Amino acid sequence: MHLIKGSSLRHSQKGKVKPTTSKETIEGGENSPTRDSIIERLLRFFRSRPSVDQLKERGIYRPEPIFGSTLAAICLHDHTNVPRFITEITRVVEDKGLGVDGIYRVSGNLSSIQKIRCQVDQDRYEVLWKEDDIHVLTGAVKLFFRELSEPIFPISLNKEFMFAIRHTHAKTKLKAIDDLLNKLPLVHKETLRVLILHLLKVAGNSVKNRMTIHGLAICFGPALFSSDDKPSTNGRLNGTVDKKNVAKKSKEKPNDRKGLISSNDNTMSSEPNQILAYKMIVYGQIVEFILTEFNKLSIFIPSNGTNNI
Amino acid sequence: MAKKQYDLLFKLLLIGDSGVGKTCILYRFSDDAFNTTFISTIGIDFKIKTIELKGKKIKLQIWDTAGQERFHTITTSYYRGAMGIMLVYDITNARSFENIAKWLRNIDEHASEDVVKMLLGNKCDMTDRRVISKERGEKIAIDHQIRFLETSAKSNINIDKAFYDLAEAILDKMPSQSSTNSMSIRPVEQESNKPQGGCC
Repeated sequence: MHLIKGSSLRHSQKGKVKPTTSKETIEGGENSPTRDSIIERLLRFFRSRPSVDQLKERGIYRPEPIFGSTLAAICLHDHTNVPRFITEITRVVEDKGLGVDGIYRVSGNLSSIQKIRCQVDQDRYEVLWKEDDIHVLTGAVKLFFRELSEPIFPISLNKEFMFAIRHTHAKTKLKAIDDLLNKLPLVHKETLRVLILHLLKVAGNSVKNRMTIHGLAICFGPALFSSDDKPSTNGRLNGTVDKKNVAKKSKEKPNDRKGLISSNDNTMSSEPNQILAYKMIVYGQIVEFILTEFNKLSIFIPSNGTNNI
Repeated sequence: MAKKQYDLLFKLLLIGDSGVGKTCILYRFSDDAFNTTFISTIGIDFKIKTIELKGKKIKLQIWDTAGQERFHTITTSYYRGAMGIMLVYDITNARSFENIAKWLRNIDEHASEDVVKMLLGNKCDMTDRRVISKERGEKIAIDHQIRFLETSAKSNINIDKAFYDLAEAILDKMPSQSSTNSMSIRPVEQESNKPQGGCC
């Protein structure tokens, strides 16, 4: 409100350069300002902020070279096919604590994770070797993947992945997933390979760390897919939302559950959340499938015999 | 109209770091069982249990959230409708205690202002692995003026008490109802007119 008033006042004070504009701004042309038009103007005002690109040009905003970047840009920066951060940190984790209980599930201290992020963004990797808390390290790995501006599984393939995993026929499913993985850009493939090999090593210690492939996939799956995918509002997905999936298995009567989740006046749940939760489950399933079928997926079959599992 | 099975419906929310035992606390309370499987909650889950308090049948609808950061987009939207929030940390895990500040900020940002908060230090049976003393828990609770209990879902210590205390605090905050039978159960819209503030 104030800002609009202010700017239009400034217009009129500037003299009679653009009297029509200022009049329009104040009176809104034919329509006197309604609640809606004010909201719309405010929205326009907020949207008209300089874009990130403009800020970058002016040197106000400096993007981080590692966190929040793309795998392609990071690899270019590092002159590698796999981000140095991933190669190093997976090695540190494997060195220090594959047996730690709840590895990749338990949260790390947030400020310590941010500290790692800052250091890594300045190409300082010693911090990884100095960090003794495994959960800070694993938290940083998950953060890295969540923050990628283009997730390791590209957004453009999300729907296809979600479709592929629903195949009931084992061979068809395997082929569909395999084909999709082959569509990934090289650096994505290579990074995924390092990550999957690493997670399999973690799962190999599940007797000690209690993290099975299934558990790891729940924690990791959603981090590898787009983090800000707007829940679609079309009916198709709505129809497939499985109520017992949305809120995990439980012994409630189905009636109770249905009533609560689908009732509109229930402020505790909303449709987009159901869809988002559903997607998260599927993301987990996709990663679980990749971990389990690792040996049968062609992108992981070494071409030059360097598969180092 | 079918006879109502309860007088009041309270919506509670369990939040806290991943792996501190939120789901186990809920299972102990709702099913009196301890689940040794070690699986992360996906997004959000809930259980229902009806309790009796001060002559009223209160249906507790308890929402269990995922501690995994990636699920927070889902879980934070459930704060708004909650009347009581249990913030759980693990007494054997210093990080979960250090992150309490973050969770309290989340509550301030997303929950309604008059939500009743409670801090739980879980796994208090594991004395040999304790790293957070009871005093430290008490102190942070006093600093933030919230209720505090140490619990153990495994050994069933203070679990019932935690839920009953929280429910009682919510009940005490509600405007005194003279005509419960005609009252519609829309707790979220019910503005509490006389918050009796404070605790402890």
